[in-house]
Order: sequence, then C-alpha cells, then structure tokens
Amino acid sequence: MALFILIIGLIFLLIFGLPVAFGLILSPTILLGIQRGFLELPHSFIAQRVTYGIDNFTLLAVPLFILVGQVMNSSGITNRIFDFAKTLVGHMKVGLAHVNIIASLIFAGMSGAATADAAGLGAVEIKAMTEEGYDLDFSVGVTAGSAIIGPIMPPSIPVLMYAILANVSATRLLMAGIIPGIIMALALMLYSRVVGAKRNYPVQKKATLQEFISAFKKAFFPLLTPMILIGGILSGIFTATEAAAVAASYSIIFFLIFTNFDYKELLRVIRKSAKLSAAIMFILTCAQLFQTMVIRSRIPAILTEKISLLSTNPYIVMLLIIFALLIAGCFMSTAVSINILTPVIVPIIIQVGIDPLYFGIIMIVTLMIGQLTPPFGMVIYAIMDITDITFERLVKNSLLFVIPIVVVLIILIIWPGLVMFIPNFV
Amino acid sequence: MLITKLSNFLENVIESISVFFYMIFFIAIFVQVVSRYIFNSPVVWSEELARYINIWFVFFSSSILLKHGKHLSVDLIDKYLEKMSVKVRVIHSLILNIIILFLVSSLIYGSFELVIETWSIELVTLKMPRGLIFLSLTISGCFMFIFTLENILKDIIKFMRGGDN
Repeated sequence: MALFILIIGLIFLLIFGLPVAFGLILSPTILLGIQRGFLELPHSFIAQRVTYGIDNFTLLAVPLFILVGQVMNSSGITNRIFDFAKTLVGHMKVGLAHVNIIASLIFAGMSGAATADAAGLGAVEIKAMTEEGYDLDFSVGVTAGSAIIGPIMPPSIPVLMYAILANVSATRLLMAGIIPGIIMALALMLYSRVVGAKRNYPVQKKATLQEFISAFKKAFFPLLTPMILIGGILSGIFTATEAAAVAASYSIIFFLIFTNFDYKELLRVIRKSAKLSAAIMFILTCAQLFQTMVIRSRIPAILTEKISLLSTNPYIVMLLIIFALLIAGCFMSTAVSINILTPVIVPIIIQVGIDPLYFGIIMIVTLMIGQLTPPFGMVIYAIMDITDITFERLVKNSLLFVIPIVVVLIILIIWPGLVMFIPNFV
Repeated sequence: MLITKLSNFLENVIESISVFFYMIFFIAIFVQVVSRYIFNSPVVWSEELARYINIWFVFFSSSILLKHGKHLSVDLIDKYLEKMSVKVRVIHSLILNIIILFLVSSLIYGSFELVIETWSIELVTLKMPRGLIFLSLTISGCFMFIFTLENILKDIIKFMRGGDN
C-alpha cells in the first residue's frame, strides 16, 4: 500500500509532469492523508521536514560548488586549460582527443556538474578538434564521454546529494571519486586511441619545455582552484563546505582580476548560480520528507525481502540494483534519480552488507551513463546547444563512448579497493 | 496588464532579496573559515547564520522558479502534449497548478503553526526567535501562492480565448 502510493504514485505524478520537488511532497502527503484522513493532515510535520531538510552544514557546499563552477566557466580560462593540456599530451597519437579528456579532467576539479563541463569547455574542445581536421562525430563523442568525469571527481553536486541522503561522510565520498575519475579519463583515452587510430588524424609536434612552461604559467592561477578544493579536502584541513568557500572566494578574486573587474558579469554569474543552487536544494529538501515517509513505511525492508527471494548474494543484489539504476538513469536526470532512489536503495545495500560509501560512487557512475543516452541525457542536450550536429548523429556517437564507461564500472565492481583506497587512507 | 506588472515588480523585489541572502550566506561562511584558520578564534554565530539564511535564500528563490515553471521536472509528457490541441495543454497545466496551489497552502498553514509554536524559543548563538526559520517558508509560501494563482489566471484566460496565444 505505502509502497504503491509512495513509489508508483510518485512515478505517475512525475510522468504527468508535476515538478519533482512537488511530487516529492505530494506523494507523502497523499499517504499521510490515507493513513490519518485528509482533514487531519499533519501540515506542520510536512512543513517542518521540508524546512529542516535544508538545515544541514554539508548541504551548504552545494551553492558554493555551483558558484565555483559557474565563475570559473565564465572567466574565459577554458582556453588556457586546453592549451596547457595540449602541451602535456598533444603529441600523442589521436592527440587532441587526449587533450580533450585531460582538459575535462582538470576542469572536473573545479566544476561539479557534467552539463557545465560539456557546455563551457566542450565548445572550446570541439572547435579546436574541428580546426585540426578531426571529424565532428568523433569530437562530440569524446567531449560527451569526458564531460561525465565532472561529477565523479570532486567537487561534485551528485556526490553531495547522495552523501546527505545516504548519511555518509561527504568529505570521504568526495575523495572516493578521485581514483575512479582518473581511471575514467585513462579508459576514455585508451578507447579514443583505439577508435581514432584508423582515422589518420594529424599528430601534433611535441611541445618544447619552453612552450610547456609558458602554457603552465598561463594556466597556473586557474589550476590553483582544483588544488585548493581537492588539496584542502584531501589534506583534512578543510571540511567540504569550507574548502568550497575558500575556492569560491579565490575564484571570485581570480575572476575579477582576470576580467578587469567586470562586476556586472560577476553579478550575472552570481544570480545564475543562485537560481541553479536553489532549484537543487529545494528538491533535496523535499526529498527528505519523502525519505522520512519511505523509512517509516518500511519500504526498503519490504523490497529487501522481495529481492532476497531472488538472491542474497551481495554481488547479484548489487547487479540487479545497477540494472534498475541504468534504466532509471535513461528516464530521469541524475539529480532526480539520486533524490528519489537513494532513500529506497541505500537501506537495501546496507542490509546485504555493501558499504554505502562505496556504493555511492558505483551509483553515480551508473547514473552518469544515462547522461549520454536519450531521452534525458543532459550532456547530449548541452552539446546540442554548442554544435550544429543532428540529434541522431550526436546520440550515435555519444553512445559509442558509453562503452569505456561501462568498462570502468565493471572494473570498479571487481576491485572495490580502487574506490575505497583514498577514503580508507585518511 | 496590471497583474503582470505587479507580479513582475514582486519578482524583482524577491530576486534582489534572495541574491542579497545568497551573498550574506557566502560572507558568513567566509567569516567562519577566516576566523577559524587565520585568527584561530572561531566566530560563534557564523555557522547558524549561514545555515538559516540559506533556508531563506532557497525558499525565496524557489518562489521565483515556480513563477517561471523552472523547477526541475521529468518532461516526458511534453512531447505528447505538443501534438495535442492548446486546450488540452492548458487543462494539463491548470491541473498541475491547482495541485501546486494545494501543496503550497498546506506548507503555509503548517509552517505558520510552527512559527507560533517556536517563536518564544531562542536560537543558540544568534539570540533570535527560532520561529524565524519557519517564517521563511510561510512568507515564501505566500509568494508561491500568488505566483501560482497568477499562472492559473493566465491559463484560464488562455482557455477562454480558445487557445490562440
């Protein structure tokens, strides 16, 4: 009964087009109404859950991470990062694909959302690759694939949302993403080398030491942002929120100097970040009302019982859940999937003895695959906006780059130590 | 139309206030980090201020998002609606807005109860009434109510005109 109203009811409401946040309030409200009578609805309980959902110190990192990503994206440093990556790996075979991926990896250290990476840096990457004679199909594929490193590497909005809902340490979960993020970059590089080898793309000259130093100098101040963020969290000096605050202050100062004190543009970026942050935090707070009702109704326990009829082997349970997540990821954006599914799935995961921290990375990587597939691949739409490629061609090529990501997912499932190494170390 | 003008004015006011809250929030966190790491004497009020001003910011901004229908949703149905007549689309949007109106009313009522209940309790470090936390939802709830009402009104006008714009 509760399962039906909360989960099926919510899915129905969302498909009908109700904004996710309100769906997350309505389905618990209907359940409460049925349990206690619609005239006796506990309005103050609902309002209290919805308000206290935001009252969380970890959550305060969300607007700050968004601010850092937006400010760095608008300061026009994307070219410098791209040029720096070029001096590092540009001379390899299928060089610009590697440059694209390395630049995305660096940018992933400043930005926590895949779409921002695809839209900001993606434009620079695709333009450069086209100029050098790479065909558009290949370029958009590499750009789409490398954009989803963003939410795996810290900073990351999906990681924060998961950490809050699954009640795991945000700092440790952020750190857990570092190695998988790097593996993802390596897998994408290897894959594009194999795919691109047949196509005879031009090879760049190896950069001289001088060129490297000059590119490094230009990229130095932007590169400090990920250093502050990742270094601050990794060294244990700062909490995620504090590191985000320091990085945000730094990026604003950097932005002002770099753009000759363009206050107007800064205000525009701040306004945009404010709206993005509010939208995400509003869903997150409503998700916590939903979570309270999911747990009260013992839905995870009921589902665990059902799954245990199939199998009690943690690997098989996890594979079943990953399969479900892959489907969900195709139909919902990452933010929505995390908010709806984390409250339901994480208790099941804990029940079968899997570390929720480890599972967080697996879940986010799985959901990222959905970003590359229609109908809700936000990355696809972001790239659609910056190139004039047809939707079908774009989808075909971004789907090709799902392959290396799936391989990474399998690697992470086989060797959980890759995820847990850094968080266990600290 | 007068209503549109008034609502746009209200929107501008709310947006300015919410960006102001956002900046206060940012400054509060910044003060906390600086006082803790540079001056080694953490300011006590900054964490509470950041946490609570953030709540105000989120709810205020959410009301503006609601006005423009910018809250995240699963837009699977939009593709099918596109092929339908304008009347069907208007009715769909009307149903959604009425649901939202109902939910917002519940939030206003519930949060107002909490405001009264907790007004006499003081926040630990800020020395202000605890009810202020919930007042954010009551006030923004009213904004959401107004904006949703405006959207409903627009839907009705569209419906009356039979769908041509």
